[in-house]
Amino acid sequence: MNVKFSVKKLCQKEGIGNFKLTPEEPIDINLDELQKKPGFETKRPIESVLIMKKGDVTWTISKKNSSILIENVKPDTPERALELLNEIFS
Amino acid sequence: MDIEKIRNDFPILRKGVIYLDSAASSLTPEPVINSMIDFYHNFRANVSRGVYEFSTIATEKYEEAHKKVQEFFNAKNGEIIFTKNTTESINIVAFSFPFKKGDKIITTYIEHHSNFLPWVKVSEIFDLELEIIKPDEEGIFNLKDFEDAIDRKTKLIAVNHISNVLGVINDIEGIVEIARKKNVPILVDGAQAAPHIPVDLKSLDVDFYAASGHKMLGPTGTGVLFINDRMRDIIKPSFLGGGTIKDVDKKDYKLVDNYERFEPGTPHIAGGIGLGKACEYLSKIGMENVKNYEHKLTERIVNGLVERGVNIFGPRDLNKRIGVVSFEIENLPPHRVAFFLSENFNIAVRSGHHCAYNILKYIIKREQGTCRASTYIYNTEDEIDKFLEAIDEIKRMGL
Repeated sequence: MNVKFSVKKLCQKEGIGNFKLTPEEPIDINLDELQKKPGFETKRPIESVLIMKKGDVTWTISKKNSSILIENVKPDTPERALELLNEIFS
Repeated sequence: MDIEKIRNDFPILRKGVIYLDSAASSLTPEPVINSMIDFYHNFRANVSRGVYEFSTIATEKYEEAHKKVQEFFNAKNGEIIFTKNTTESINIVAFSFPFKKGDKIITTYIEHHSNFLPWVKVSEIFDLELEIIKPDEEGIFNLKDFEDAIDRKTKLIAVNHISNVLGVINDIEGIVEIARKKNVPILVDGAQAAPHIPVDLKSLDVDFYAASGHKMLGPTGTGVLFINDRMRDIIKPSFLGGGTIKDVDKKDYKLVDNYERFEPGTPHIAGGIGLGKACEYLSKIGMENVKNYEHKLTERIVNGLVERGVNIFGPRDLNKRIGVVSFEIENLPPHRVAFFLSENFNIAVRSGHHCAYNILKYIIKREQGTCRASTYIYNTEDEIDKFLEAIDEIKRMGL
């Protein structure tokens, strides 16, 4: 994905990060496509939200604002959060 | 209280957000914003410095703001210092108090970091003893624990008025009575109390009281430190500079007598004026009215969550708490719940540790954090119902 995301660290315990990522320009995330991505456990609580899990990490993707919450980011750095973002969009 | 009229003063609400994060920072009404714009548009100058008209007006407005805040808290002239927030207020006391090696400070497990870390730090620096009092799991103290903890080494008690996680209203009058009896000064962190309940500092008879302007409709970057007159010459300001002295010689200086000794340099003039206006705004509504209105919202939110099987923290007795309600939905991670509330329902709540690790570790034992909904005068019962409906939806879906 070529769009830049702003990365905001949320309140957390040392070493385990929670990050909110928001695109710097509007994008349209295809949740149906993402849901088919192999290697992830997925849940679709409502049409506009997709939850993806792999190991300890959880991605919650909201179509409305194209915002993504990534939980249990280790190490708890923005760089690692961006790597995990790329993991679902690669 | 005319809620619709009040809500009209908060144009940010027209964006449709249900703002339940006032414990972190309140919204700001138009009269407060306008008072600051007035400063920048019409008399933008430094205070206490110039003989020209703008400076004179700025000085008058800034002093008037102190007076308004002083009246709001029922303090005496010169006892109110403007700071940037509660954290700075408490740090001023921590680093200005004449501690000596071996002295003891008493604090509690339910303090915000702003009223805990400064005491840890000064304990390290001055080799002090720090005793931490533990309440029950609702956050309610046995006052005898304070009485037992005080000994001849005790130089200060630092405790909050209302917990920012549990919403519990501490028995400050009871703790003050013990402190006075044993002749120990007391500092009260009033960040969550001053915006929501009447605070009469004359009657409370504390030595120090700290509050945040930005949590009580004031601008961000504003706070309050009350220093009781009896402590004025005991506390020596750590920071000095312009405006703090009445005379200086080669190796000596004399401090001014009023609040200015603790406000070195050019202050946040617009912020101070805004804070004064915020106090005036709340005073016009009446803090008893604020308290009673919020009590209704608290009742609705607490009972609503409990009826839905949502775990809430802090007292179930509504007379012992305010509308700062930490909760957890089964085992759902707090950030995910907050994210979902924001993205799908436009509801703003706080999630995480609320800058109070010790409460989460030792009192409620939720190291992963909690969600927290907190109310204020601009919230409505309808908004609380929408929040509860959103909780129903989250529970139904699971996340």
